[in-house]
Order: sequence, then structure tokens, then C-alpha cells
Amino acid sequence: MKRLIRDNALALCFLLLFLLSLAGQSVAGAAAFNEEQVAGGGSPVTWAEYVTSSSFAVDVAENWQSEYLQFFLYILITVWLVQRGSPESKKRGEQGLESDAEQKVGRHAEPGSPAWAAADGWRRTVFSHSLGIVMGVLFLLSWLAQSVAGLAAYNNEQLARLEDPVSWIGYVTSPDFWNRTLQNWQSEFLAVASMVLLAIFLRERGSPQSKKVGDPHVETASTG
Amino acid sequence: MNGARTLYAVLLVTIALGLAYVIVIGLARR
Repeated sequence: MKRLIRDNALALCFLLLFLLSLAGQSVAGAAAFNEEQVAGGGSPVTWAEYVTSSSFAVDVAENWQSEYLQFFLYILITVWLVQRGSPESKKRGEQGLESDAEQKVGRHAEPGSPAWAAADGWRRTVFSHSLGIVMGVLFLLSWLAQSVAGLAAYNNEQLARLEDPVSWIGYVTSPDFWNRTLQNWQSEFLAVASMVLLAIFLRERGSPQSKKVGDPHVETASTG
Repeated sequence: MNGARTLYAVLLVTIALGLAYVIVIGLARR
């Protein structure tokens, strides 16, 4: 048990932080929702009513989609674009999918390689892109979930204002949908650009996300 | 690797349930 926890400490730590943050969001979100309800002359809702409301659901989903988009794009774009000096980047000249030998696929697979790396045809192709595929699918599903919950939340507000509800098409072309979407995207892209550029010149000793403290600024593709 | 495999499965199930939850609440127009 002790070994299990130590071997998986990184994942367990972030899963725990996720659950704590989600719980905190539900409490703070319910309080904020009720402030607006009371200010608008409505009656407050319970915590259970809030966490089963589209208002809570859309807030969760809009953040999920942007995180998966961030990883999806980062995984894919770093195949083709490099940043000289960044530990997050490949070296210049290494852009692209690389050779089968470098990637240890097909007849270059090693005894410990996953079975689908050694396989031919569609299985190797799918496994070769499985990380990007799953991140991309999670992004699209989260964005779809955001649109469905966002539509319900938006229409609840429309009805409270005695205005007509909108259709799904009407909602995904509305300012509310794109405001929720783009306010999350902008922060993700700024954070990625910050990581790519700051990690060229700054260090965090011991972190595999950083270069070694003594590595030259121009050194690319190295981790501490 | 068994612990990691379990967490991998837990993560994917959590995400799937989370997305299903959001979509169901949206479709129920709550």
C-alpha cells in the first residue's frame, strides 16, 4: 500500500487537488449563485440543487474543455514546431513524426514495447497518435457538454427575464457561449507561451519541467 | 504498473461520468 502510494504520488496528488477544488467550487459557486438569486428577487437554492443545476455543470465543463484543448494542441504542435532553448521543445531538425527506428515501431520495436507499437497497419497508426486522439476527443466532448449545459443555464436566465428560450444552434452562435469559451482559451494559450518562454531563461532545480540549473540558455530539449 | 493502470482506469471513468453528468443535466434543462 505504501509503495502503491509512493509510486503513484504525482497522479494521486493531482486527483486529490481536483476533488478538493471541485468541492470548493461547488460551495463557492452555490454561494455566488444565491447572492444573484436574492439580488434578483429570487429564492436561494440548496447546495444539492446547485450541484445538479446547469449553472454548475456549464462552469465545470467550460474549464475542462479548455484544459484538454491546451494539452491537445501542445502535444500536436510540438511535433512540428520547435522553440530554441526550451526544455519543452524538440531540437531543430527533429520536427515531424521521426523515423520508425527512432520511434521503436514495427520491426524496430523492443521486447518491452507495447504490442500495438510492433503491430502493422491501423493498430500502429492509432497507437502512434493515441495520446492526441484521446485529448482531442475529450476536448470535443467537454466542449459539447459545455454547450448542452450552457444552453440550459442560458435558457433558465432567458425565462427568468421573460424572454424566449434559444435553440442549441442559437446558443452555440451566441455571445454567451463564445465569451465562456474564449475567456478560458486565452488564459491557456498565455500559460503555454509563458511556460515555453520562461523555461528558456529560468530554472526550477530538480523539476523535470525545467532544464538543469547550470544548463546554458540556448540548450533545447533537456530536462533537469 | 498495476497501481498506475488502476488510476488510469479511475481517471477515464471519472471523466466519462463527469461529462455524462453535465450532458444529462443540460438535456434535463435543470
